[in-house]
Amino acid sequence: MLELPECKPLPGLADAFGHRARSLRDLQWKLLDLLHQHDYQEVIPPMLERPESLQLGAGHFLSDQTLVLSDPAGAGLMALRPDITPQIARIAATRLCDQDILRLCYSGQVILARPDTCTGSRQQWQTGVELLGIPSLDADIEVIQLAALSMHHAGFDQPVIQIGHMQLLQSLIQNSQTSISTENWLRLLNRRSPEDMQEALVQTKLSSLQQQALLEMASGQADLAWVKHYENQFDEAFQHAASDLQKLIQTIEPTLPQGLSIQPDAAVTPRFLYHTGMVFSGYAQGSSQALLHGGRYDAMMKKHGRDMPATGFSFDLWRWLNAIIKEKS
Amino acid sequence: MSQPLVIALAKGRILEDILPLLKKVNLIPEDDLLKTRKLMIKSTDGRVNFLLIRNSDVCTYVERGAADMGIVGRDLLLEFRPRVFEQLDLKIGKCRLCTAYPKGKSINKQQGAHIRVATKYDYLAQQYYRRHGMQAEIIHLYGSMELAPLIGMADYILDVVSTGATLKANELVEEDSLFNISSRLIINPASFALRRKEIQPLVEFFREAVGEA
Repeated sequence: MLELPECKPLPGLADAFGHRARSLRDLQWKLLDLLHQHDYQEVIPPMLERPESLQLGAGHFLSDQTLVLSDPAGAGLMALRPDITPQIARIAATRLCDQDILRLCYSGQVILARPDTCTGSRQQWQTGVELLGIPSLDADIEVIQLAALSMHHAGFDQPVIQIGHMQLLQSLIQNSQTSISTENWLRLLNRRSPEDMQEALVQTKLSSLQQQALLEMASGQADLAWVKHYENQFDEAFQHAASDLQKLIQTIEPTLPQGLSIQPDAAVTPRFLYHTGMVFSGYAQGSSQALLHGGRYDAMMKKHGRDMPATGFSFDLWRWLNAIIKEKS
Repeated sequence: MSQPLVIALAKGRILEDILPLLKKVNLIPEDDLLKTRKLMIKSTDGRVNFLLIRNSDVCTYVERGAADMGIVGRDLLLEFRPRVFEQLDLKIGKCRLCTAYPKGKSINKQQGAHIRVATKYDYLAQQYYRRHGMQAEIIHLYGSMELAPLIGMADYILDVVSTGATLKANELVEEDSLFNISSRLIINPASFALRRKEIQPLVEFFREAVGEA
């Protein structure tokens, strides 16, 4: 009798085969087909990238999630991508320079250095779009509509997209004269804990109005009425962001597929910290956490050597399939 | 009528403090939560299903969406850092997270010192001692931390302290207070997005009830 070799699975990684593999591939094609129909051209970057290229404009937040290995063939250090967006930025900045506006889509495996705390998984099948070269609200509207359409097309029942704007927080915390970094402010908002926010505010020199607005963000009350209320009360950047957010909601709401809704929420935080403008997250039954993340990340392109506005969204096909199966069951 | 909201509650002493709050927000369990052996109990109006689970499991149930909301101590939120919203301090189950050592046996905790710490809060202990430049050997225990220094298994404990009576009874001296702890109302982020119209008013009812207390 043949002795079977010992085969221990790697933690956080899984195979797909049989019906599950077929379902994943069907979902991938269904969604890529939708993106192609909307004139998004597919890009297939390699799994490995130079570490510094992945970190350009993405900061340490992304490097904490990057596995790095040494190339025995002499190319130096190579990184397994934890996110495809920086690769798209590199390609747009160095390979597709002849086009002013780029509509790109992709679908590939990414590996996280640390397993997701909720699912224990280190692998994601990141699928998404990047729209580069359009600085105006039109681009944000286009990608959010496409994100909504993707969720609808995948078969989610009554999904919700929460939309916020990073500048609202940036304007509120500027001149706070504390050691609290933007990253830590975002962590505070992520927990939506008014008590912890209050504790942090005590250390700042923010005005009582700024403090009140931040407390309301942490209390989950930063809806459209909040945006309107504070629109003219802070700096010009806040005013522009608030005005853009309202215009975006007004434009998108009537165009949404039936059953899909949007929720303005200034406390929406991005998945990675390279976003600078409009940010959004998608939720649906069947998943306990956000199923989709997106937003504007203009600063990253500049770091890659091409000053170009950029916005986009992405999601994990594995997670979408799990959520769809759970929702149907 | 939509699916009932699911609220995870911890079994044990904290339930005695939670029950008056539930009454104030008009969520009355069908069974006596202090006596029932059921693990899932409906509210009398059918709006809510309560889950009665271990304190340390509340974060998991809410993070994974098995419960929409839950009530849990801040100590566990700090230790496990689940991806949930911590919408309200319920101001019940008040205590503090402290370090303590046996009376007369304080160690000179200079930079680089090696100490043994008995705790169930491994992450918080590592963070705390690292911040103070000390190498701490964390000894994970599930309860009765106070015993560990008494029998020489640990130099310190890091645990929640309420009145300090147990420390005193076991001849331990409180050294440093890390965090004030109380119970918090936590919410799953997806539930907050998908069932906001039901959850947000309920949070406000809880907020009013806490304010009245």
